Amino acid sequence: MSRETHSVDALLADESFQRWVLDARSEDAAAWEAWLAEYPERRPIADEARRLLRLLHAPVPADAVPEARAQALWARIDQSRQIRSPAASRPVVRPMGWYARVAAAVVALLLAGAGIGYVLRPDPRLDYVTAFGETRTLTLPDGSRVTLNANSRLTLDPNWVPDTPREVWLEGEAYFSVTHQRNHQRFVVHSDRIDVEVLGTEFNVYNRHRDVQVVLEAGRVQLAPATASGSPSDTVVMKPGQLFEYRANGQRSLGPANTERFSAWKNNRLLLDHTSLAELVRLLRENYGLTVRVSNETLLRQTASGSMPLSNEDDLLLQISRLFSLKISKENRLVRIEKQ
Amino acid sequence: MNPSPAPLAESAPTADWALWQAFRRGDETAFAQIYQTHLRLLYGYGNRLTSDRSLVEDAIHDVFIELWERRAFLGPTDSIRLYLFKALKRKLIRFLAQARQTDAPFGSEAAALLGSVESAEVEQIQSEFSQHQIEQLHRALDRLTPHQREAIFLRFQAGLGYDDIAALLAINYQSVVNLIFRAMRTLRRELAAVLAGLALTGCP
Repeated sequence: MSRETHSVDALLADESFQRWVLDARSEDAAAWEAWLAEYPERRPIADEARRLLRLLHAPVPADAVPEARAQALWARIDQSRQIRSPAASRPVVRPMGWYARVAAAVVALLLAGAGIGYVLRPDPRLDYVTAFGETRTLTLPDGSRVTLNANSRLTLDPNWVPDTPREVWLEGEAYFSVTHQRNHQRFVVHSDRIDVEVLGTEFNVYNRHRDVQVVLEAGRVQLAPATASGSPSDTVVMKPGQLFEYRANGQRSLGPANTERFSAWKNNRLLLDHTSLAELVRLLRENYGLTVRVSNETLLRQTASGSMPLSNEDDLLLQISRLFSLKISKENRLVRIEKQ
Repeated sequence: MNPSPAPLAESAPTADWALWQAFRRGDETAFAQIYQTHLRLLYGYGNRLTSDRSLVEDAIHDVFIELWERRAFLGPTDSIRLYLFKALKRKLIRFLAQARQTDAPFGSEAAALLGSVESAEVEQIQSEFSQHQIEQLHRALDRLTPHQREAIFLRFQAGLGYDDIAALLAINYQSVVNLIFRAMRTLRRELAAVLAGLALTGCP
């Protein structure tokens, strides 16, 4: 929802606004604080909204569970468990549909990449995170290469073994070049709404704000809904040259596309193919963390085609202003676009 | 035993992920941790689906047994909460149908909470709001439709995101936005006096 919202109720219904008010997370804070700075007359409305949200979020005393009751229920659960499976057995490791368990093994490969920013957690899990304006290429334990676009996160359990699928989790955007394993070991990319399963191939996954796009350049991928309740009929098989889109509102589409347009970023190029200014504004927001203000909404519908190098944000803004014949100015993280 | 209210963050990937992985591998401590973390909210959800407390407990019991038995076949997930809520709702609806209970799920906020007879045993939760203000809130919530009430509970008490709420209510994302929007309009009207009072006392 755009931050230009002024109605109290719309603010109250905005997830991002709610998070800012009720959660310490800073992801939303920066943008909302900028909004408040931009529109100080909105402060009373924001305050009223905050009071209501805090009231709604306050714990309800009647919901508390007496300790004795909680423990009694747990004892019941524990007992039922013992009765039903007396032998403490290890669960069978077996891929079922798209899901499997990653077993433990030794890994040293990823730890060698000291120049790449990563975080090693005690519960073996690797997070690769890129900042705004930053892209990174990394190599996975099986030799696959991933180029991570700006403002993105790739997570994996580094202990990969041959008999279970290779799994990674993606927030944001990344281009994958997956190695084919002789034992046909599957490779699965999880985004929060779909799972992309591949078999030696090259593809781009875009997963932001509940919009998901997958573009396939070579090979074959199979897509499935991320939840366990997805039925087999929900799967989609993609061929090279296709774009799959899964919108936030649930709409899905699969069709041919100029795949280069979607993956040109990994070669530090931007390929425009009747691309609207609106799309570029989205890019500026998502990949560079800029707040963009356009003088006139109709400007957003302008389109342009062409190719430009994607270097730093100032250069990008200059190119956009030339291509669309617009006046673009930037102050701190705020960009203004207007007619020349 | 009663943890602090769930953070509004829709999924806490770090904590949930590690716990879920461990649990799927059969770690019983992780299993107990999942119970501890989510019990209060499951009770909250259950109590609003039906006022029959023993039914709620039976359903929670079954949810956890099923969870344990199916652990090897469960997918990786960042939202244990959603999984548990889905399972609980499914079971309770089935129980209610079988028992031919006339309880309307999310029929009334007040009714759901009046059933709590053990409040004397319960440690008082520190709240920044007075008893009166909370009562007014529940009265205001009762002016909402059941779906609106459920969406408000899931968002602000259970901390689920709109996507997850859409899944639970079997509606689409935009419908959730609309539900919350309309609920807020009603709540602001019903709670005008309370909110004004809060403004005066300097509630930020």
